[in-house]
Amino acid sequence: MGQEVARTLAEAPLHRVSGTLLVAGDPGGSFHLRDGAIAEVASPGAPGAETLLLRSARISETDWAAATLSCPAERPLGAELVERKLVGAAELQLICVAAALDGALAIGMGRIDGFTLERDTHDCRVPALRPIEPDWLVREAERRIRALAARRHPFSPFRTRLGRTDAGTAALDTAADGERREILLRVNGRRSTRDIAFLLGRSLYAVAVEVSRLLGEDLVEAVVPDASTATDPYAGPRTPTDGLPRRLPGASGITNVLPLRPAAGL
Amino acid sequence: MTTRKAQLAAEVRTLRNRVVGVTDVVVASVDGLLITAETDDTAEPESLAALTAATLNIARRAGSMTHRGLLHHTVSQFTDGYLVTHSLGDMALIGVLGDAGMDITRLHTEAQASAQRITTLLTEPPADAGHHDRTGEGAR
Repeated sequence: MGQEVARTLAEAPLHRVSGTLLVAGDPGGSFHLRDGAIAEVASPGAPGAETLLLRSARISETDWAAATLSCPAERPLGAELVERKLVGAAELQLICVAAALDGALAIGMGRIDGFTLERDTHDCRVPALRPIEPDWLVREAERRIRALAARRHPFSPFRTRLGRTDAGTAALDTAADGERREILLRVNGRRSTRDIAFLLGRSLYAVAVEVSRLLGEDLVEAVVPDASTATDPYAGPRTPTDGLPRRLPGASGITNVLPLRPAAGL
Repeated sequence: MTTRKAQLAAEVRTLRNRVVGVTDVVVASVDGLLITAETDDTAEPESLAALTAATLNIARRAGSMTHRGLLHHTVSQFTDGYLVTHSLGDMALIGVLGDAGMDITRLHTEAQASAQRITTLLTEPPADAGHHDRTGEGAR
């Protein structure tokens, strides 16, 4: 199925396809095409350009609201943001490409149930200022999926919940400010890599690579959802043993799936 | 033996696990009293339950005033996420918090299935109720 999605995208420039390639699955997503090139890739599995811009505080919520309110429907929102000097054109293009790659990565790493092409729809949120070549996007997403699968501790960015080990908690005292520390701070036994990427407003791939390193250094671990973590108002105060994470490598089943994915395309 | 409380807790956990982007789930009575919750450390369950009930009740009154029929759900979208509330008949509700990427279409499908199961759990008589009745009849 992934191969068919990749082939449809690769053939889009030949027919100058405009519309939306909707990919059903978990997490699934959509490729937005204009004249055969990709304008945006959106998936619940990865932060889009809007989240990357807002959560990283590159643009304030007030400025964003003002820009979206005054932007005419026929004009790309990105052009409005650049004209208001809220973000540079080159930086915005970089963010849009990163978000598109992340979206393709999320769709490709997840389960694909089917896809449909809806022609002549234009419902992009923040389209890239310059269109992205589908062939390049597919190849780069494949490369990233392979890179993640080849790591010593493969995991699902969506299903694997991450917990901090004792060593990870101790490392917080010494870790220098930066992405690694920010990730460690947000690991709480119930969040996935994807959840942390959304919280930080950072690229899914970048966070996944750092999580993979943290897993390799035993600073974080995959945890089994604990039946006792749900809040029960009648159960009284929680005991300290409630939240103890238990190690279960590959509990999500991703270790069985990931090695097969890159060969399947996307 | 699985208690009803444990079954309710398992149900909200299932909802959270099945839909990408869901961060918190509460089940509460219509007046906002918490029944069960699966929440992150950013949301306080009792407050979320009360606010969810208030959101749903305001929407219900608006629907009633404008003759729009029964309320199914409400969706509040923020720059940084969602608060979705689902009505469970006249007695209870589900409140779901999600991040900006939450799969809202899938949430509605999954929440509907969860709502049916949670309603059954909340309304069916306790397992030992039948036993007491039978005992009572036997005594007479």
